[in-house]
Amino acid sequence: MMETLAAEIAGHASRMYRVALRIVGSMDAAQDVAQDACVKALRGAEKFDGRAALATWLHRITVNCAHDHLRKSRQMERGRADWDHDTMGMLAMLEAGPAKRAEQNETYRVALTLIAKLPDDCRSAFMLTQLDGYTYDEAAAIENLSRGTVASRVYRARQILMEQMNHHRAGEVP
Amino acid sequence: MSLSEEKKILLSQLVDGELSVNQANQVLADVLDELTHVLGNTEATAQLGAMLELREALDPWRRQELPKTVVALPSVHPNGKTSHFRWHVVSLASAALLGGILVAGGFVLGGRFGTERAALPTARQPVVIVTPEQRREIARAFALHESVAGPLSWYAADEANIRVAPAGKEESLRQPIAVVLRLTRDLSDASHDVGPETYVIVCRNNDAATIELPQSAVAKSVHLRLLPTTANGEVSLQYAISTDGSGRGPDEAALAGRRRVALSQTSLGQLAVHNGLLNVDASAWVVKN
Repeated sequence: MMETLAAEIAGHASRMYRVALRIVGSMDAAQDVAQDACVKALRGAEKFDGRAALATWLHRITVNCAHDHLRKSRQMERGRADWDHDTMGMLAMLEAGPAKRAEQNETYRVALTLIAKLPDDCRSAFMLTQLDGYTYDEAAAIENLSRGTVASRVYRARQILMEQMNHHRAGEVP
Repeated sequence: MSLSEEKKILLSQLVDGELSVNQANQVLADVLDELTHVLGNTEATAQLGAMLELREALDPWRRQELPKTVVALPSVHPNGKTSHFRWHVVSLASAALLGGILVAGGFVLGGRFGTERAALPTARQPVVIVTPEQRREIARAFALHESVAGPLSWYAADEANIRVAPAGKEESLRQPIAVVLRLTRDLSDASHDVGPETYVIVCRNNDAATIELPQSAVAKSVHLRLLPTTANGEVSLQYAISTDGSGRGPDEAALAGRRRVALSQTSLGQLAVHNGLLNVDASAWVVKN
């Protein structure tokens, strides 16, 4: 039973890590958060309500662990007022220095920056599906929405982003 | 221009939904290129192109994998001993399990054990000092296992195995003491080019731990009895160590003694195994929460 659950959790670990990363903004801290979330999930296995999808449950644990981490490190208070907690880490990583990694090309940096400015509802659906790697069904369960609503929000976010990236290319400030 | 067989196979898989998102998007982008070349930019091709581009731009973020983490969970050892768990290590990132990495229960210690080396003019081998980061990792690993399995009397880990023993109420109150044990073939024995075996052990102050270490390239099996005691932050280790050697005769060797052991490696002595000598060294410290 525990082995099966651990194996299933293992399958979600990288997504949990990415969720943690965009919140806490440091690879080491995100690793700790993902680790803590895995342990909490294993320890709380009996609390797992089978009616909830495993992805939903693990996502909630991960987000809580990440927020706990931020609280402990007091980064929430220090965070910039215009940064939402769910994208604080992502933006912090972008601001950490000039393209630390080769793949952090301009399009990547602009896209992440613009994602943080999306309207709350469509940003969340977009990040879950496009950054964290959840399916539409999983994102729907996490957000407690219908699949159609998630699809619609992802579409809307994508339209906004494409338009703003065009503005950016044209040298206009979105 | 005729379409290659390979592309046709990809298109066939695309319509069946058998490609990964990235593969499917690449096929779509290729088709889109051809369409745009022939038809020019229509609204549909422009939309699809922009969507594919945005999706691709975010690929680096999605490629981020958990770098190096394992989680362990307990099950009863097949031999049925209830006081002796065998721990299965479930890799959360198989890429993390690189050669030489030491699994220390929920945490993987990076690379070679000990990076601070102090040369001794007549030393058989460099002296290895346990770094503060490694001490923290081991403390965390021990705490992690206690958080899952309850109080532990001792915990022992090598590269592939973790063993633990549950503690009684009284034992659990005793101070944990970490011991890093290294078994190394004596360098004068040039016929055996085998690297050292390192074991991370956490046991309790003034509580004897009897541990059977798993078989390794260095020794077939090693039996340990450790009794650490601490006073003023210093650790004194009483030990009895024996090995079965090759099992081809009266090879069993043993050594016993008492040493003050600190962070730098201290020799506990040598074991004669069937075809050479085994150096036994240890570092130890009091685990702080």
